[in-house]
Amino acid sequence: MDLKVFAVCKNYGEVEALKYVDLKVEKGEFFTLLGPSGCGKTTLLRVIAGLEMADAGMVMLGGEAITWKPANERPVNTVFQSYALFPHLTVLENISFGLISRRIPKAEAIAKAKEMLDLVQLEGFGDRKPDQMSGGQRQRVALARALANEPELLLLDEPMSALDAKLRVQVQIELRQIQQRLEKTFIMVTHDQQEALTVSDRMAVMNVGEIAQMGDVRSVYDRPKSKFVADFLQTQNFIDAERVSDNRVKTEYGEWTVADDIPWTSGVITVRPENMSVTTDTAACTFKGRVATSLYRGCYQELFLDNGLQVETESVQPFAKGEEVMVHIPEESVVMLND
Amino acid sequence: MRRGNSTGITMTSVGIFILLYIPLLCVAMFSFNANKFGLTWGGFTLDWYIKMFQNEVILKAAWNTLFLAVVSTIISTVLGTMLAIGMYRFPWKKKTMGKLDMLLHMPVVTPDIIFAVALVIAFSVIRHFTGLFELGMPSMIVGHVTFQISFVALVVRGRLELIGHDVEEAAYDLYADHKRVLFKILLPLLKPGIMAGAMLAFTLSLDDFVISFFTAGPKSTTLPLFIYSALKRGVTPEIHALSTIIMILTIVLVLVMQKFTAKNGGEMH
Repeated sequence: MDLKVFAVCKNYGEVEALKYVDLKVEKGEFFTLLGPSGCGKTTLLRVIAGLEMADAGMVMLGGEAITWKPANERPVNTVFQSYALFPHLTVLENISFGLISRRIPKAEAIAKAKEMLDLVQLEGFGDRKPDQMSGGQRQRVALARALANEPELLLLDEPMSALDAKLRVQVQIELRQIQQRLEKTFIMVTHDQQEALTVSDRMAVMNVGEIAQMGDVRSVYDRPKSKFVADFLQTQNFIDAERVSDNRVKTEYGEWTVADDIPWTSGVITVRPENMSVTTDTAACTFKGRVATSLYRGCYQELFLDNGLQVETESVQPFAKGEEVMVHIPEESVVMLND
Repeated sequence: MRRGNSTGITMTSVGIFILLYIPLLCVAMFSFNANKFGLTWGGFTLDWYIKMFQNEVILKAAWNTLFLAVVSTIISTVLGTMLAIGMYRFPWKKKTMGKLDMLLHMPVVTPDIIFAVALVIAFSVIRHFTGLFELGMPSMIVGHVTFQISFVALVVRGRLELIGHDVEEAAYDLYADHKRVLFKILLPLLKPGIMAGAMLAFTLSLDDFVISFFTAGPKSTTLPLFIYSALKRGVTPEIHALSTIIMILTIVLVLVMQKFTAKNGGEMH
């Protein structure tokens, strides 16, 4: 079902955790709330789950207002950051817990739990206790426990924060595949932009209780609107610029042609290092700089120039310190920031 | 240099343990001594134990002690657990929480004698207006429960903090109602803490002298009270035997409690 959040506010004493947040998540969509710690993303997830009640505003699921419904009456399930498995119950008992809460006959609940174990590839682990399993396995149990209830909406609170980097990538792919197979609505909270990009259809970047930018993952990644979003998504290069004409800006590195409309007379532009390239063609040269530091990253190199800009190049031949390079910036990769 | 130092430390701790346990060992030894009055060894005997078990007064006192300990432990465990859950789960403001915390610790740190006197005064006031709480077993049970509650609540709350809010929230998220959360999640997870708290309360009640002394009636003498009054007439080997049995019982209880506490930590990581 689709989820709508209207003007939700939540305060903890003096702290405003959520300030009039609006959100719309379509049915069958994988949506991610991305932001630094303390931005309110987990609070928003808890409000949707019913573990916290909004101070003001409305939460609607499939056209029904669920703002004041307690967690145990919402067709919503959560994968907790700590997994929150019941340590005294076996894996099967954990997974069937929600079904038995809803008075589904035990045999049926166990059968469903076994089916879920297959889905997360943990066949044969049903009789174990959570503390006899590895972190990755526990995470799968938490996922199976939530999915067993066939929720209209699945919430995931930093589900991969306890996994090591290699396992994380694998789980991201699996999570995406499961979501696409079940065609359920998933909402995930994370502070990892890579994770958000990998798994989601759309995402919202949050900052101190507000949604800073929301949209298709590609559009948010390619066209951040504010300094905060650009910085959080690591665009690295922030350059002061002045408008010269409709498609020309003047910066301390020279006059550049840009593709986007220029919304101000003077402001900040940003360019990702991976969108720039080192060139030998004088005609394509946007600006020149000297190499201060070069980092070898295997399939590419990162160059820190003495003018403060950061460039990535696919060229693997080493650069000497102080070597002059010509850098090309495609017009369409220059992003105008609105603040 | 370091070696010498550590030998010193070992010797000191051995010394301290000897100091701690010699009196207890003496009592245990004298309980098997056939020589009734002397401090010399007169041969091994179990007579004092047999005599003790034939003494009506001692048996009555033992029954009183056990009855008091069991009843007060059951009441204080139920109340203390409820108190702990209420304190930990209700979203108190920080300030209120601090005050409640202090209130909970008060009975633990208040000297027994003051607590006992306070109880006597409270009982006499209530008695004056209602005629209830004639000193005796009921007043002793109430007295013991009042100081046991805090201990139970503190132990159970420690366990609650270890469990955290997550599993409970997960249970609500999985459509469980309050009853199911309490009986299927909270109480099973709290069990080691509740058992440890009950064990502690039981030991405290068993050993208590001061509160019992002030709140006891003529017919509700407990073992500690009996020993105290018997001592006035001189120490007999029967009392040694009795003390030894109480001591062993206490040690067993402490060991059982430790087992529960150890399990406590192991299970939750």
